[in-house]
Amino acid sequence: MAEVKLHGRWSSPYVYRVIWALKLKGIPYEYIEEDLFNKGPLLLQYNPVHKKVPVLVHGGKPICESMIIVEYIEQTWPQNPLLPNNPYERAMARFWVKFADDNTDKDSPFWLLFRSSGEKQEKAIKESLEILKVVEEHGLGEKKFFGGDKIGIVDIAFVEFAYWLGFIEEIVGVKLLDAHAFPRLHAWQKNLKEVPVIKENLPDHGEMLVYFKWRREMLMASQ
Amino acid sequence: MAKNDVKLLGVWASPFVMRARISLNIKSVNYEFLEETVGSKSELLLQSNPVHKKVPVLIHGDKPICESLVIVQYIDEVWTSGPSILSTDHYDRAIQRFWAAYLDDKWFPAMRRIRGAQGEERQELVDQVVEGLALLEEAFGKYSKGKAFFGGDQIGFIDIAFGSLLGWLRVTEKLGEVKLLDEAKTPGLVKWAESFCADAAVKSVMPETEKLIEFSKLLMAKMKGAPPPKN
Repeated sequence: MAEVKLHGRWSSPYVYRVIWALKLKGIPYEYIEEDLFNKGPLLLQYNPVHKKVPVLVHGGKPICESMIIVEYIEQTWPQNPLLPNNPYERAMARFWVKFADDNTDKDSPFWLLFRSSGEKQEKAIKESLEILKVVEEHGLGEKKFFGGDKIGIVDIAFVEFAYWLGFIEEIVGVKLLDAHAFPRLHAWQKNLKEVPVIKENLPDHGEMLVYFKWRREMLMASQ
Repeated sequence: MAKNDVKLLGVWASPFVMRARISLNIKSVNYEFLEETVGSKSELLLQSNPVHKKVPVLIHGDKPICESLVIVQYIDEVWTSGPSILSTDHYDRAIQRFWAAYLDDKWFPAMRRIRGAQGEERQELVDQVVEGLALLEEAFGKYSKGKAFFGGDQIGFIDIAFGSLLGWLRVTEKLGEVKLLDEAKTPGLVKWAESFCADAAVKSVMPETEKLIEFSKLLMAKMKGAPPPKN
């Protein structure tokens, strides 16, 4: 099998999307940690357009953008499928993958509330709750995972809700994914973290707390 | 599921709706086009796309599919007798998805903002769009391999994602009084644009630039609260 390498950063949710996909399919890979303040020449060569992680390199060929990488992994290694067989259900899954990408990225209300205070933050909190409501009602519904009984591509796409959101909540002191307001999503979060592959592949809790605290302090200081 | 029960909810001016129409044309699928009235949303639209309440929505049988590129991929997967829109090669497919995402996430949003922007911000947006076109020119050179389209001899995923935006590119150039697609800088793309617009699957669904310009003026006036321009 051709070599698989993953260029990533220890704290990036997008990198973890790829790690989970690789681990769920049992694909061996070499991990290369990138320093985003000092980007390696290989990264710049592999991702000249965005200069970002994650980048998957398979047999020397780079693939960029986390969910595009996950789709590539899904097609190339079909064991333990992450996408349904049926085209309509695949379209549903891809709809929610896009929703996750569009509504949990760095410009989303979740991160805006982390970067702001006062009125701006209030507005971001309100918008974040609206997003959670849509996902709870329309996305997850009565299912255990977005993928049904097993984790699928949409569960992977909502990586931010699985773990990173918790740090935003803790550092800012705001509970968003509340068990009363969002019982199904809250249960999903718990269930996901109990899946062995996920549990064993999360960035260290302590280190994340330190990192998030530092980031919040820097952001508030620069305002 | 009856393959001939296909409806598309859309508006004539939307590049995203155009993507679905081109794809259906490529596969020679008969469909009913249900035009939404601008400024109001039909019951069918609200029911079929409760999350975003937007067009395009493809309704196949009674099942709605939303998001233009998701629709294009669905069409490609269901109607397998027509030419392929996405590559069968996994790596090439990832490249196609990459450029479609780049267009939707970075390039088009920047281009849309040019007309409403001023001064330094406007210049930055123009620079971004022009730089993006240079990247796309390079990609075109690489992937077309001397043929007419990003997809080679036939229109493919990148052609559809990018070509559907040409109408609004021209509107921005005309009303924004700015040259974006320049023969001197991106000759490959200029030629590609001609081929794309002349293609049988595209011709009948590409809105006329003049009509788009009028539509755009109307939209801008509505946004500013002024009465629509008299023409």
